[in-house]
Amino acid sequence: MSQFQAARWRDQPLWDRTWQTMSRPQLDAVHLRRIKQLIEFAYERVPFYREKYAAAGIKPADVRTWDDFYEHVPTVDKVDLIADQERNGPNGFGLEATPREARAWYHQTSGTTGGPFREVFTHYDRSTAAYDASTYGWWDAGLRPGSSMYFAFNFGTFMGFWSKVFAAERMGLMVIPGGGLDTVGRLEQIAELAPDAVAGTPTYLMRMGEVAQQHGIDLGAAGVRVLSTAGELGPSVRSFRAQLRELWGGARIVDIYGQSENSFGAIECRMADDAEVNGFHVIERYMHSYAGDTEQYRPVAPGEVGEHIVTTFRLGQPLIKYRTHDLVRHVGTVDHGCGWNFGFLEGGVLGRTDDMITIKGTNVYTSSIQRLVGDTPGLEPHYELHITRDRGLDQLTVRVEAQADRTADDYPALRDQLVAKIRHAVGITVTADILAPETLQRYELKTKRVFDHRRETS
Amino acid sequence: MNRTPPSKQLDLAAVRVTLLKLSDTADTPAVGRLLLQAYELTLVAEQYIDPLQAPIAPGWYDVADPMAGGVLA
Repeated sequence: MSQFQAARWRDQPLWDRTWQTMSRPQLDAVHLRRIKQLIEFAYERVPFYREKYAAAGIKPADVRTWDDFYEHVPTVDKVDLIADQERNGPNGFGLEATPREARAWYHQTSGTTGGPFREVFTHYDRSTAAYDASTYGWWDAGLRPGSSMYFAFNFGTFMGFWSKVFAAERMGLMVIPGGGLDTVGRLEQIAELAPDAVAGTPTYLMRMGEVAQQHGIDLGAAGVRVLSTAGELGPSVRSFRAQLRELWGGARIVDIYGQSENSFGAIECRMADDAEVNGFHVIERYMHSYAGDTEQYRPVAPGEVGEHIVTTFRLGQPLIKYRTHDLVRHVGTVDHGCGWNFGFLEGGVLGRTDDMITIKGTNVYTSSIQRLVGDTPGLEPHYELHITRDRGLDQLTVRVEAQADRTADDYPALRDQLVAKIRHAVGITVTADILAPETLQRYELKTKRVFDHRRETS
Repeated sequence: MNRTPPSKQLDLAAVRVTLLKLSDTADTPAVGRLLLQAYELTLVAEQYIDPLQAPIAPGWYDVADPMAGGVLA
């Protein structure tokens, strides 16, 4: 019998029982202690924080209670990170708090908000700042030391899938890197090696499933048990999730939510598939998070929608009350049968404060359109939003693919159904183009869905 | 009867001090660096085991007292 087979922890149902089952009062106590220490740590080491707190009229010693934290500690936004990065010169890092010798990994954000932000992670951060958050969900999904994971991803500077590699190492999985291959090459390798799990973006894994069907590759026979996804809203749309699972022989999906700069720190438990629980547990081992109002950033009532504001316990670049711009419904600890006490973001990311577009005077969250597309039978979850301006009037066109079993004769009815849904739910009249399957471009990384042509057409 | 879990019976702070001294006096960079990483991993382990007491950062991040067992404990 090997060491792993004999280990007393091997048959435990939870990866990290100490933290996952911690009571809310104890979690609050641990978080407040860490936040106070982190503020002190950042204040001593990062001029940005000293200046920001001086402008707010506070010092670390003034932060003693949760009220102090919520009321007096200023928030940090992406623009702050970029500004501090620029202040530190062409090769500098914003908010860097640790010695140069501690630098271990360089990443950068994709730059959808402002410019790209250079991220420096320390070796210590790799183990303490959500780099291995995926372990919680993977263990829950049944992966164990000795399992294998295929990475259907070209590795670049984006932190997302590197973090999964480190998580796989931490957990004892065999890492199979699929970088440098095209989709068919990856599928052939998966069929040959039969990994227990595959990691990729939801849209790309969907694409792989479609290509497998076209090439007669039976993914069900490959025996993939778990799909580890990140970076897009897809899996929280039930129809998308069901279709993806079907393409991959019923594999369980473990989706993770987060952003590169604040680490990927929230993940689905097994109930996402077992009981169709929709949302993410915040891995509170790594961060404190709450939903705040979008003006004062004070906590909204439990269950109300607010902006997700996080404090990560990462030391390379401490983020304290970082505005993610994601809209979430933070419902705290909920018991839905998984045994985790970590706070829950019900419904996942409900929208973005900065992906809001204004059409004919109405604020529209593009993610709400995605959900309506996903809830319309006969439509694929592949869509694009095109915004144009004609004689001063904004026009939103939804281009979306029909499912393969629908004929062109069905398209007008599908179009009318979708337009009616959007008019009812969002309050605007849009144009919809129903397209044949596989018309729209597929992306390996983050899918581009919104195209604003107003500057070209006004 | 001792009800303390085996993982909590370790004095990780003492282990860290030992590892740091060994790292500091190692004969080769290979050993020195490895011991430093082992030292950091004891901090990580302590954060899992005893979150209310564990330091939040390796002592060597603290320029004023790099030989500390961990800062802000």
